[in-house]
Amino acid sequence: MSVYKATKFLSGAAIAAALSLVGTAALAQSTSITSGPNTVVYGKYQDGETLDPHVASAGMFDHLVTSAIFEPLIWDFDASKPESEMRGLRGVLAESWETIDDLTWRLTIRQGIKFHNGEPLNAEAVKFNLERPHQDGFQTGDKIVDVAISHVDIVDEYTVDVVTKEPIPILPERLTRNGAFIVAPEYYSTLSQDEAADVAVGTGPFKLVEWVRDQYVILERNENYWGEAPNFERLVIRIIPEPSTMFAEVMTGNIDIAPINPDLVDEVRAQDGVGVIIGDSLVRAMVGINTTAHDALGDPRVREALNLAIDTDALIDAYALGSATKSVQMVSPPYENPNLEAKGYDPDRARELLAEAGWADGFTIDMDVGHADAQPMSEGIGFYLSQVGVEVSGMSVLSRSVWVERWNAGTLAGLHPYYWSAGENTPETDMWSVHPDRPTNSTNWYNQEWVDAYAEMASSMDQDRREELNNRLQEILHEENPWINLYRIPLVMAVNDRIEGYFPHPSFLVEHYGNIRIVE
Amino acid sequence: MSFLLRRIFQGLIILLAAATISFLLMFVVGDPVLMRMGEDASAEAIERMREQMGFDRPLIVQYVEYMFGVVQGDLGISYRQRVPVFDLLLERLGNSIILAVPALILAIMVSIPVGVLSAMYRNSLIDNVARGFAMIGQAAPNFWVGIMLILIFGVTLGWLPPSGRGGDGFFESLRYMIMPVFTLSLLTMAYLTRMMRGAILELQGQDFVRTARAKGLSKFNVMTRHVVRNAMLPYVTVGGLQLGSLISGSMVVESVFSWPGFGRLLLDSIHLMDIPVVAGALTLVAVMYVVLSFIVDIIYALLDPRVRT
Repeated sequence: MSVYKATKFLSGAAIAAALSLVGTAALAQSTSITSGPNTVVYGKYQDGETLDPHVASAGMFDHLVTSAIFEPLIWDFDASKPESEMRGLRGVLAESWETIDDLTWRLTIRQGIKFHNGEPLNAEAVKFNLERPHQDGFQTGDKIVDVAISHVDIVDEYTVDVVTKEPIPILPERLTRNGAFIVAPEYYSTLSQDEAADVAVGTGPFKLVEWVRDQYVILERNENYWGEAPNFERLVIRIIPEPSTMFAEVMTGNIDIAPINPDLVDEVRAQDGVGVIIGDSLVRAMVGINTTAHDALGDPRVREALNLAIDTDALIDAYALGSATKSVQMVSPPYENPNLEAKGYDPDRARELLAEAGWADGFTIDMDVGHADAQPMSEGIGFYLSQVGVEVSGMSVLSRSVWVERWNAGTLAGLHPYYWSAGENTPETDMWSVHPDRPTNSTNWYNQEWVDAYAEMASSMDQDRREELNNRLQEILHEENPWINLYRIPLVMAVNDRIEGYFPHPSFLVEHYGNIRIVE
Repeated sequence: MSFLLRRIFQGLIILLAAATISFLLMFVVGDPVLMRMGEDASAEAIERMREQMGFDRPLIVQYVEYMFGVVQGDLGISYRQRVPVFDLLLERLGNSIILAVPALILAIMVSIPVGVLSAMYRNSLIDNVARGFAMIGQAAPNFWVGIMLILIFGVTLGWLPPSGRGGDGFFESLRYMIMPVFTLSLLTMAYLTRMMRGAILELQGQDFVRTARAKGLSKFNVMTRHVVRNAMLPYVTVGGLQLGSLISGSMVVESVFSWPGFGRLLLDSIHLMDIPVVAGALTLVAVMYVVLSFIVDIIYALLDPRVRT
C-alpha cells in the first residue's frame, strides 16, 4: 500500500463512518420526548405489556400508563387532599354505592361523562366492563377474575346492581383495581383481545397518542374531561431501565417525575429545581419463612427468635432512608390490630428461645432474595441472624421467573426476604401471604383456627364482626410468626419544582396523573 | 464448490442446534405461564391460562410445532408484545445496527493508525500513551464508562441528551447517538489496537520483511505494503466477528442509554420469560455469526491469495 493508497483508505474510512452516522441518524424518529412548557415527562423503569386494563401484566408496570387513560368506579386515593387524608375510598365514575342485601351492591353512576371516542358512560357500559373479564376464553391473570361477581343488573340508565355469588364485604375495595377500570364498551366489543392490547379508550384525563415499545408513551390532554383538566397538553411516560440514567435525566430536567434510588436522595435534593417526595407505601419489606424447609423453622419459638434477632430500626436507617414505618403485622393501617406492638430487638431473648427449642448452637439456613433491590437489606438481616447463631449459608437473588415459580410451589428457601403488596388495602388481601389457598403463600404454614376465622371474615357483611375476626387473625399470626415483619418501604420520587399536585399512590402500581399541574 | 456446500451444511446444523437449545433452555429456566399472571392469581386462573397458551400439551408437540415454524421463518408471536417475533427482532436489530456499524467503523479508524504507529515507534511516548489508553479501554466496564459520559456530558456540561432515542430532525437525533456509539466502540477499539500492534511487532522480525528492507524499500513502504497487509489477516477475522458481538452483546450499553435495541430486548425477554423472543433472538444471533464468519472467510480470500487456491 503506498502513501497515496493509505491516505485514500483512511479518508475512505472516515467518509464511510460519517456516512453511516448520517445514514443511521436519518433513520431515527423525530419525536421530542423531553420536558417542555406544555409537556410533563414521567419516568419508569420498565415498559408494560398491554394497555388493556382488564388484563394483568407480568411486570405490573402496565397500570402506571393505564391509570392516566382509564378511571375506576371507586378509587382509594386522592392526591389533591392533604397527605394524611389521601387514602380512603371515594367515588370516581360512581357517585355512590350501598348494599341492598348480602349479595347485591347498588352503584349510582355519575352522569354526563363521555369516553374519549364520544360514547356515553351509563349502566350498560358498567355492566359490559364488570362482566368482560369473566367471559369464557378471556385471558387474564387479574384478580378481578377471582371476585365472584355473578352478573350485573341494570336498574336504570345510571344505576346498576352488582350481584355476587357469595357475600363480598370488600367489593368496593376490589373495584378500585385496574381490572375494574372502565373502557368504552362499544369500541372494545369490536376488538379481539390482541387488538385491545395496543389501544386505549377510557374516560380519564389523558388520551393515548402513541406508544413506542420500550421507549415512550405519548398522551395528550382530554379536552372534554369531566373533571378539572390538567393545565398542560402532553404527558410523556418514558422507559429508562437503568437507575443511574434515570437520575441523570432527572438532574437535567428532561424528566419531571421519576422514582430514584434511595442512595441518590441527597444529590437530588442538592440540585436546584428538583425536589424529593417520600411517600408511605403498602409495600412491605419482610422475610417469608418456609416452615417446612428446615426442622427448626417448624417451631414457632424459633420463628419468634428470628423476629427478635433483627434490629428493624437499624435496617430502616441503613436501607430505607430512616423514614420507613415499622410494620407490626402483615396487615397495613387502618386495619392493624391496635392491641399489638411491633416485636422489639432482643437478641438475648432470641438466644433463650432458640435454646428452649433445642437449637442452642444455632443452625444454618439458605436464603432466597426476591429482588436485587432487597439484597443489601438481606445482607443486613444475615448479619443480625448470625449474632444469635443462625448462619445464612447460601444467599441467591432469584430472577423473577424463578422466584414466582418457587413462590407458587412453596419451595423457596427457609428464609426469603422480599417486598410485597397485594395492591389494595384490605385485611383479606394483605393476609394472602399466609392463606393456604393463595399461591402467594410461601410459608407452608397452616393453622385451622386461623383458616376458619379468615373464611368467616371474608364473607361477613357485619363490620363489627369483621373487625373482631381481623384482630384475632393478627393475634394468631403474632404468636405463630410465619413471617419476619420489617417495615413498609418508602416510595422515593424525584419531582421537578415546576410540578405541583403529584404524590405517589401507595401501591406504586398506579398514579393519580389527573391532579398534576405545572406551576410557572 | 464442495467447500461452499460443506460450509452451508455446517451452518444449517449450527442453526438447528441453536434453535433447539434455545427452545429447551427456556423450559428449564422457569414457567412462562406464571410470568404472565398476576403474582397472586388463583391456581384455577393459572390452569386456564396454561390451556389457552397451549402449554398443557406435551413438550415434544410444542417443540415440533416450533421447529416447523422456524423452518418457515415463523418464530411465533411475542407473549409480551403480541407481534410476530421475526418483525420485532428485525426492528430491534435495525436499532442495534444503527449503533454497531458506526461503532465498528470508529474502532477501525482509530485502531489501524494507532496500532501501526504504536508498533513502528515501539516504547516511545506515542506507544506508551496508546497502550495505556488501550489498557483502560479494555479494562473499564462499558457500564461505568457510559454512566461517566452521561454524568459529564449529559448532566454537568449539558452538551448531549443523557439517554433515549429521539430528537426532532437530523442533527438532534445525531446528538442522541454520540455517547452510545463511543461507549460501544471503546472495547472493540482497544482490542483491535492491541491486536494490530501485536501482529505488526510479530511480523517485523520475519524474513520477508528483511528481504523487503534489503531490496531498499523505505520504512514506510515496507510497513504499508508488506507488514500491514499481512497483519490485516487476523485483524479482519476478529474485526468481522466483533460486529456480531457489537450487535448482539450491547445489552449493557443499550440499557444505560435506554436505547431500544436487540440486546435490551433479549435481556427484557429473558427476565419476563418471553420464550418465543428469546428463542428467536438466540437463533438469529447464531444466523448472524454463521453469516459473518462466512463473509470473513470471503474477505480473507481476497486479502490472502493462498486461501483462494
